[in-house]
Order: sequence, then C-alpha cells, then structure tokens
Amino acid sequence: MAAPVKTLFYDGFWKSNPIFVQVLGICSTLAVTNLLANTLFMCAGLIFSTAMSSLTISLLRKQIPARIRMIVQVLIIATFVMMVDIIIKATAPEIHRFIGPYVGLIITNCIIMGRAEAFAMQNKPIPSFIDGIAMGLGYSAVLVIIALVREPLGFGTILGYKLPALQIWWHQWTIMVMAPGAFFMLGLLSWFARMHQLPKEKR
Amino acid sequence: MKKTSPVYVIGFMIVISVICGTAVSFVHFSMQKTLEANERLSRNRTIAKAFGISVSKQTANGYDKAIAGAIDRTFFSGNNRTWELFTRKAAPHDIGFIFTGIAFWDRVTGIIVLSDDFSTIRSMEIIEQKETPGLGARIEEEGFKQQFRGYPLNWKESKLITFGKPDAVNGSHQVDAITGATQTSIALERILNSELAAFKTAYDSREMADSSSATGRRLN
Repeated sequence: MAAPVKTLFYDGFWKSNPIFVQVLGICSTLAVTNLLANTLFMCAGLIFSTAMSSLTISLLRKQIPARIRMIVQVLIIATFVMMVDIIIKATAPEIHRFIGPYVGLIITNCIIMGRAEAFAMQNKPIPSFIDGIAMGLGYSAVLVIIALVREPLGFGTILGYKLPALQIWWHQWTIMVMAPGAFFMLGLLSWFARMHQLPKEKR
Repeated sequence: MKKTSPVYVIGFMIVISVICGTAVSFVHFSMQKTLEANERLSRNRTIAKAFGISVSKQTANGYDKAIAGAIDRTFFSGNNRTWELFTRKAAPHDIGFIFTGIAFWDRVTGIIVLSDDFSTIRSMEIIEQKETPGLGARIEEEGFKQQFRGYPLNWKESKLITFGKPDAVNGSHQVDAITGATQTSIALERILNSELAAFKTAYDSREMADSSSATGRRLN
C-alpha cells in the first residue's frame, strides 16, 4: 500500500532526499547551479519528467512485460525528457544553450530510473505521480539552495539582477562559478543534513 | 495472451514506441515555427556580434533589418562547395564567411570576419557547437574568442593560426588553447586553418572569374 502524501513529501525532501541521501543526479547538480535561472528551468524539467514518467509507468505497470521493463521505462522517460527539451528550446533558447546537454541527461538520471523501478512499478498511479513530484521537489530544493549561494558569490547577481551591496565590497569568487564551488556547497549541505539525520537513525 | 510470450513482448514494444514517437513528434511539430525563429535569431545575433553591429530592437525582425541594412549577404561556389559570404556595406568593407567542421564530439559552425585586405581576423564567433560543457564548450567564452581579434594572417605560411598551451604563449600570434579540452582545441585549430585556406582559394578564383567575365556580374 502506498505511503500517505505527507510521508512521500517528507521522504523526497528529507529522509530519502535524492541528492544528499541517495547521492543521485550529482552531474546536473554541479553543472547548472551557478545561475539560479538555469537551475529553475532544470528543476521544472526534472519535476515534470519524474512525475509524468512515474505516472505513465504506474498506469502501464500491469501490462509491461517484466523482461523488457527497463527498456520501456527508459523509452517513457526519454519521451517526457525530449518534450521538456523541445519546450525549453522554444521558450527559453538562451537558457537551453547552457543547460541543453544536462536536460538530455535527465533520461539517464538515476532519480527518475530509481523511482520508476522502486516505486512506480509497485504502486498506483496517483501515489506514483505524487512521489515523482516529491522527489523532484527534493532535488530542486537542494539545487536552489546551492544556486542561491553560488550565483551571488560567483557573479554578484540573483536571477541576473546585480546585487548593489556585492558590487561595492565583494570580489567575485570565480571558483563558485566553476564545478568545484558546487562540490564545496554540496559537501557542506550533505554534512549539515547527515549531521541532523544520523542521530535519528541510531535511535 | 501471456505477458511472457514473444508476440506480446514485441507487440507491446511496437505499440509503446509508436505512441512515444508520436507524442514527441507532435510536440516538436507544434513548436517548429518558434524553434526556427529562435534559430534564426540566434544566428543573426552571432553575425551581428561578429561584425560589431549594434541592434536597437533585439527581436528576430530587429536583427533581420539591422543585418540587411549593414551587410551584403551573397553566395558563391568554389572549392566544391557553396560559401555564404557577408560583406560590410560601409567602409571598411570587412568580409565574413561561415566556417564549419567536425570537432571532438560534433559539428562546430561559426563565422570568421576578415579585414578587406585579408591581413587580419576581425573576429571569430561560434554559431553552434556541441562540445563538452565546461571544457570544449568554452570555445564560446569571450576570453577565448577575444584572442582572434586582430590576429594577423600570413597567407604564405602553411599554418595560419597557431594554438598553444597557456604557458607556452610567448608572442601575440598564438591562441591559448583551452585547458582540459585538448581534443576540441586541436580540432578547432584544424578547422579554422583548413577553412581559412579553402575560403581564400575559393574567393580568389571567384575574383578571377569576376574580372574575366564580360558583364562583370557577381557569382551568386
């Protein structure tokens, strides 16, 4: 039986957070979080793809032959990811120029594959859809936090708008624009989260 | 029918593939006009930037008008291909052409603008590339492209543009390769050199054809 909605969201955001607990989707986490606008588009794309592919896979779970289930899952995921890719390319071409390669990589993102195999194949459509949204939001929350630190420190901006205070006294950290900046942020966030999670696990 | 039977498995795969393919095609078809307009805008923006044309109205039509007003766009054949040629209407009559070639992962397309006497490169801009993000894709960064501005061309040399390691740069006639993207750097150096040489040969033969023509018409 599917877990209640509250539990699904608690798992997605905290207990089984795809980034700092399952350590999935790290490639895009490092790549797109230097600008908040890129991050938001990536997150929207991932939430849509995860939710819709989980819903579709769950709807078809009784018809999908076990031997080819992984192929079918990838096909369904790829369909939604390609739709997202086309939509971003049409609506925000400049952002697509930077995040395009990573949008394509959502197909192989372990978060979606993991949820399809572990949850959608065993649960009803609505809980699977909510699980997809919860996991996507959990991923997004971490990415947005990282982007909210990296963009101001690296570029002195938020969503492209210059922060006046930072323009005066802040010398921009180039390292925060580059992937190592994301590694530092991810490490700090994981440390913070695990520090609060581990004592509960031991009880 | 049993889900394990080969007929069911194959039938299921065919049906799901057709549904998924149709869904993607439908989304692509419904957005095709927007995608084409975006592509045209992106290309025109790059060409305008290469020629240093300021565009007040930064829309697709704005760029179309600005480019049409400042640049002559013609085509000519030479060296077994058709070249897209851009010539600045006002002096200096800089000349630009579209270069293309296979880099490390996929095709790189860009524009090179030369001075009218072919002695220097005015600018080099990338129109499309699919190199590794963060590494080879850095050929689009301003710092890299800036190195081509004012690059002198000696057409007697076999290698017109030389890429070097960042620490090996000792003169002004060398382009810093991109650290961590050796293959893209090597490929771009090869593409630029071969395309410049091919364009010059084609352009010179076009000039000769023009001067020998009785009507003096341009080869378009």
